[in-house]
Amino acid sequence: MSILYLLIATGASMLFLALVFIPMEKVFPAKKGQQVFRKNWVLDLCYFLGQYLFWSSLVLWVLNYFNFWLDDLIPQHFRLLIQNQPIWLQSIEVLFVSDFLIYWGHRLQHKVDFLWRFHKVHHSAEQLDWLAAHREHPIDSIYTVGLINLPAVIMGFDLEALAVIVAFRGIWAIYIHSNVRLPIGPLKILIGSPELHHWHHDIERDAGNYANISPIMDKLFGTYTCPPKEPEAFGIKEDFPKNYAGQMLKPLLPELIWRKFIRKCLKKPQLHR
Amino acid sequence: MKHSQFIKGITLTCFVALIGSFLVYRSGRFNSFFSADETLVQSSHNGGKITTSGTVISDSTKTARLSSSKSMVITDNKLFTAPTRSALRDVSRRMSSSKSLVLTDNDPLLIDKRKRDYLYYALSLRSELFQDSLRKSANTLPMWLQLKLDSIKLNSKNWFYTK
Repeated sequence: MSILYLLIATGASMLFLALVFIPMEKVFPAKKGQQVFRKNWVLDLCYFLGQYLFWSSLVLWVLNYFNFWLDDLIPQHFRLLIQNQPIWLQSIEVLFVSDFLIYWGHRLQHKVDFLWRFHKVHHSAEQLDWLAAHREHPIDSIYTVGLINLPAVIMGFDLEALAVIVAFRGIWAIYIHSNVRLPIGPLKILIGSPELHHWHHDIERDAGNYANISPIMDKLFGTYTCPPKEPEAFGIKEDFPKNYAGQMLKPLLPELIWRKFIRKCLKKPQLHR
Repeated sequence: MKHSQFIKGITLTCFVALIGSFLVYRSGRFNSFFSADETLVQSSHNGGKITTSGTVISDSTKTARLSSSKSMVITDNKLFTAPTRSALRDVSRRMSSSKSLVLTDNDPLLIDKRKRDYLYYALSLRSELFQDSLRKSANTLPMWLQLKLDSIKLNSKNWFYTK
């Protein structure tokens, strides 16, 4: 894959997403008056470019690497047993188990401090829109993408058979972050919506609504919340860097080293007389 | 700013249409327009090209992945290429136990990559001939041989032979 192709594909993806979401955010805004070029949009653009040009490929590579190792560990008898089922049943199993895993994985990300270190990058966005959806630490991506694909890998299920559903889930993940409020009526129970996910991004760390795509798991495990208004504020209460390099590095370094590093960076050079 | 019902209707229609066309694109319906390589895949009994070498598409074609719950990637970025299964197998053979060493592969029914490729090729031809799925064609093989095959490939469409 040439770099030029990658750049063109990234540009085209950005144009497409802007075309899909900006008019919606203008006509059906959740937070009225929020600009397209709002505070920290450059930071989110860095995440977008980083993800499309570099990180997504690395995540896929890591995933494939573990996939190969895992392949040899899973008994072929087990896979044959699963694959003798009709394809529709396998699809339901894969999607249900994926949703279950990602729900609990996501809850753990909010509970366990080590996982929260990486996940809070995503929650540090103080204004939500389609671009802010891309704010995600690569380690967080590996964890999430790994969990969500684990059932398919174990079962030996080819997700290309579910290409439309896989693509739908992907674009819906961006939609639920967008600054849109569009009531979908009773479908709200089946498919997640921005009004639900915005509450997940409330400034409180354990605000609920962990199942991002379908809220069924939240209903099942009692974490569903849907007040009739928008949250007052998004983001996190903790002190967190506001630039790309800082947000990438901080979760990787122990607190003590991070403080030393920051002190060194902020130290003003001595003037020589 | 208040928007008229007309503007709202148009915006919503465009939103649904764009997402719909994206889904159609990702399902592979536009492949023949966008990708020159895809047209080389045999799509009908009489179309496409089959060479005697019967090239098998590598494992790296398995790129369909559920994306993260936060964001997604519209195009597949293959900047990093995945390790091949055979490469990893070779590594695992070199890593012997600390207590013993196996000098030869103790597998009398060893099916190497080349044999496996021919097997996939034969299966794909059979399934084209009998209009069966690859899985059904593979079921005609003895169980020990079925276990040597990649179940993901067997569950996929018949795309084993390309140009």
